[in-house]
Amino acid sequence: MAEENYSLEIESNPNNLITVEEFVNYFAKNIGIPEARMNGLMLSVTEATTNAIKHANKCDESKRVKINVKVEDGKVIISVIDEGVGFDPLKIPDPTEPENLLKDSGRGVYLMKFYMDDLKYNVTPTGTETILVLNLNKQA
Amino acid sequence: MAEFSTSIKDQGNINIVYLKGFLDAHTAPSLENTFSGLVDKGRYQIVVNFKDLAYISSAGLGVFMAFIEKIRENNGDIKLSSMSDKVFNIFDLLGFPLLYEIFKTEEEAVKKFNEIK
Repeated sequence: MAEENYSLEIESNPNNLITVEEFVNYFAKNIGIPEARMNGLMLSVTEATTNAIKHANKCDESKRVKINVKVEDGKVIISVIDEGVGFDPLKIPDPTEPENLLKDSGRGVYLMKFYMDDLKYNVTPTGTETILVLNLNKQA
Repeated sequence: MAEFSTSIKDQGNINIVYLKGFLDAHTAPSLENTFSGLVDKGRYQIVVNFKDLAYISSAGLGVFMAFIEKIRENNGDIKLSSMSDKVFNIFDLLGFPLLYEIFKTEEEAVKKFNEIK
């Protein structure tokens, strides 16, 4: 393992998702994340970043999204930090309930919860930190 | 990576849309334009072939939701085909098989439209 910490900072423009996808491939390869977990990891990091760009920072390019990655005790911990006002995760509807199937919200959070081993939020006065945890010892 | 493209084949009244690459929040507007173009021309019978789609995020899934009601109001449908297991798992996880018919092959999806006539 060459490095234990990785970070990326982008402007709040969906075009920058390309950079985020390349970043995920880069750190995942270095860390040695199993291939079977790559799709879920890519999906989770891009969903968290999309939420940060679109919903939190409202695509305002003067606002930044920071992604910090560290490896600790066999876990990969990925923080996606925005500059938005925060939200209540409990208020996000379950997108798989029949009455919500056609609604556009909640799918990203649902996917992150499914593919990651833990999902937490840290709401601060300057923005929200979405924390994704992937356990390296767990199979897909 | 992160490239995405669509191409369309007309097969009688049915339009087959081929997806290729990464469908995410960055590339979803391209698929929106493709569906808008079909709807504007009154082409409501659509098969989407996922064979060459490597990746889909929730923003990509949202495009299908955005158009399905209007298309069905006009007696059309979007039928899906040829998904990899990886892409199908995401559709399945979010309950899409309740809303969309998903076929193993493009031919089966086209046949289903022709049966309805």
